[in-house]
Amino acid sequence: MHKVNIKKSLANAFSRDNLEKAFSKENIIRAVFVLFAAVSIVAVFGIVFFLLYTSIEPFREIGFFKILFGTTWDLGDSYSDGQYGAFPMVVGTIVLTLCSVLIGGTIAVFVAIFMAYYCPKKLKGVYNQIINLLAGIPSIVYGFFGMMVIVPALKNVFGVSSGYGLLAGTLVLSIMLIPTVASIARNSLEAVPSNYYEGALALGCSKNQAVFKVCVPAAKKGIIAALILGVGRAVGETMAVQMIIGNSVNYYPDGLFQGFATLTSTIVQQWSYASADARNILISLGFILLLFILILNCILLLVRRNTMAGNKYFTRRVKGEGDTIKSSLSYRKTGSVQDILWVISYALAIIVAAVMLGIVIFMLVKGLPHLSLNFLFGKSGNSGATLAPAFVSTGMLIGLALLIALPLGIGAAVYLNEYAKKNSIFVKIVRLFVDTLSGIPSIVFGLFGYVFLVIPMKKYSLLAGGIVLALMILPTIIRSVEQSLSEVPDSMREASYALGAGKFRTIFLVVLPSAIAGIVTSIILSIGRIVSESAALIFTAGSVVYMPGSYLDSGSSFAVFMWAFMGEGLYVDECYATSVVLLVIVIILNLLVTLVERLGDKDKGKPHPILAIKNGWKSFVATLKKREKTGEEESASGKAEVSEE
Amino acid sequence: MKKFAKVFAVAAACAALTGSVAAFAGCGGSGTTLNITGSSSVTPLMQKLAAAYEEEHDDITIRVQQSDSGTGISDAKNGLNDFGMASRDLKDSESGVTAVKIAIDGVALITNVANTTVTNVTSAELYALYANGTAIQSAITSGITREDGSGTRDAFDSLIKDADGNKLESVATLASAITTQSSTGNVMTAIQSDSKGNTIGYISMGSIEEAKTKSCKVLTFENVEATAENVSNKSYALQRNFNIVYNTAAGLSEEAQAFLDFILSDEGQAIAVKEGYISIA
Repeated sequence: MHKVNIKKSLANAFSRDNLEKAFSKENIIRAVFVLFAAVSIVAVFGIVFFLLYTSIEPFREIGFFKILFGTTWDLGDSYSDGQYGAFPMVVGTIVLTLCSVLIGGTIAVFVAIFMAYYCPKKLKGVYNQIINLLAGIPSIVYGFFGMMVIVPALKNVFGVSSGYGLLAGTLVLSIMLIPTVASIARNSLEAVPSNYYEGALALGCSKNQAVFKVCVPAAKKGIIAALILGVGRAVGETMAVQMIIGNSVNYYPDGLFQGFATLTSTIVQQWSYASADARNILISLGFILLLFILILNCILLLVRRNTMAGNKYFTRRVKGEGDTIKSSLSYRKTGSVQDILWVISYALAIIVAAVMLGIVIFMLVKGLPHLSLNFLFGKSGNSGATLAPAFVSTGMLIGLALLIALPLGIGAAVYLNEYAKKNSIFVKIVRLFVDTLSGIPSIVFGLFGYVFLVIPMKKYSLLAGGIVLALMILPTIIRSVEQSLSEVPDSMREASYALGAGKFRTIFLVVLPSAIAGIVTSIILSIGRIVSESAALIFTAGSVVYMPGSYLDSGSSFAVFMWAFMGEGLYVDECYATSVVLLVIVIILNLLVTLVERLGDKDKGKPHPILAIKNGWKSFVATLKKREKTGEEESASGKAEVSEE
Repeated sequence: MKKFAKVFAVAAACAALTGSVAAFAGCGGSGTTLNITGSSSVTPLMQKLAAAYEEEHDDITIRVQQSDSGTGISDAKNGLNDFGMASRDLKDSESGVTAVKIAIDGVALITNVANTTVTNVTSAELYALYANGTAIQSAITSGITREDGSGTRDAFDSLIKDADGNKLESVATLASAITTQSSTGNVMTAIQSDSKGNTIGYISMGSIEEAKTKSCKVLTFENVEATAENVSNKSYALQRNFNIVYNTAAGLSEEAQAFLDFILSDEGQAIAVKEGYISIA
């Protein structure tokens, strides 16, 4: 009886109808998105488990709370040797993060408001590029700028014996936060429906009131997402921070000029000479960092839910007629506050541009005199390193990392936003970990790659480097794209369905093209992150001065070259020269990406970029054909003339 | 379905592009490649040695990967290199590998040229500054140290003591006026930008000439100048070893052994001396 039933149900299950249903286009596409999301999620959790797994031993040997709350850190060779109290570093991390997010985040949000609402149209493109450029400057350059300009300046202004410490660290980190936070916040601000703004104007608001009282609160969710990524960047930043905070272990940042250490600066500094046991302990600091970011994100999640539930801007209760008049009167009065905010956003935007200009001039002055044709394109070898291999390696790394991370990241974002149940616990957990991952210091990614790619393959390779970079940029892509997707109005999806389009057609032809701004931002931020990364690559792609022959060879990107030039202080000039080259490359890449974006943006109806390219190609072919035809006609008539003669 | 065909075609083109790049793998040269990984302090010297050796042996390419001493040692253990470089001696916990000393490096004390009062420092003065924050000759009020475990710092910490013979290395927490930089290059930059001249730091002797061009001046230690001669005859006490490290069980390959022989030969040691390091002979 049973057997027959199974047979029957099997036959039924594999009937033509069912098969066709199961393998319909919609289902296949859905499966692809699920797969991409799954791979992304596995990658995210893979890193987390790697951290946990490595940290278990030091936690067992020393004790989790001893590490977390101990106040003396003195690295030894084994668990029993030395003291491992990380509390001052935990405090240092929290204080530095808070200070820089408070200052840098505020500046960035104002800059985003400036870009979205106040920037003169002619300057908009230029200003945009300036912000994008800030994202592509390697952190080593920020570190140099801090050491050579900011620290001496602070020392002279405040008359202290050492300028290293909290103030210098906060200033530099604030500058570094700006591009990430500003560009994502700007996307959200621009996605606020224009009728909010117009409605506010129609109700008698001044422009400033409309912007600060209506549009900014409406984009709050996106701005918070931007700040979360900013926090991640602040917590995870290592190379620049460790050059300017002084790294005096066991000290609390209790003065503006007291040197102190953070978790990441300690990991990256002490890693170099640490023994195997000590390295596990340092990784456990990474795990503590992860916990710290996780808690931070959980708090933000709760805060966000509360403010969303009782949104005080759009559910303002009006008690009676008298109140309405009163409140509208006071509302009118408060206009001056918004005017001040408007001035602030202008001023900050100008300051940011000036700082950016300062950094670029600093790089040019230091680097330009040392650039030569031979240094750029000469043959690189042990007797003298040139940048020729860096062009190839960096290109290969960008290509591979984007090739892996873009489909995965966009796929995961589409899955989370379009397919997964909205606000389900699963989606929330994934989002939480994705946010958390963006704050893990890059050196941890490097170690992950070293353990799981380099050691099994028995060699350093660009392949390993590219994969690790892909993992690193994944959170930024997922978050940025997801944010843009969520800002596409549901009415567009509904209109598409109403016209008879299926889900996948809607996603590809309606939703994704509308979210192109987020995708482009994520690409630009990713390129910036890739070209400025060194710590993760040293352990995966290696740091040879030779030209790579294939993805299986090791090779150094520009940032790794800079790090190598810097090391013993023997080639500092070359280091600056490299940063100038990198700057030019970042500008070119950013322009290219923007150009592609414009291509799809030209028509007001915003056709799908693929369609735009297709249409462009069609018209190109058509003109070619036309020319051929006219050419043929001309030559034909020419011949006719000849024969007539 | 046409669209999918196109997408597929694009993907195939990408794959082909990657493949053609990969095809270059064969062009890596017919000879042997030696992979050397590890300490960034040893790297500049190793590159010079490699360049000289490559000139003599056309069929050999030496790839020097710089990271850090710890990675050089773990790479040797994991069989990722022909041998590793370390700017410190092996620790007791690091078994399974053998170290060979290839050169000696001195540790030079530097300040900015803006400091005109201090030309010599003593061990006791340095101890007082680094452990307690006491100014040196009332002119130097802050100091830079290297990260824990650095070969340079080990040399510094184990030799600096106060009048009672207390070593700096037994001090767990340095004075609050001491900051940490993680490479010779960073220490140099920090001293270079110190226009007040109130900061002292220490760097590898191989970088002295470069430091002098970056407004740094070298101080004498206990009235002994930091020269190769003084390091060699041990009258200048601040020094450390450069080592290469290989997997004891696997041993050195024939080619690696030949290169090591070259490094230890008079010719190789002459290169080390020329670069500002000290011969082991």
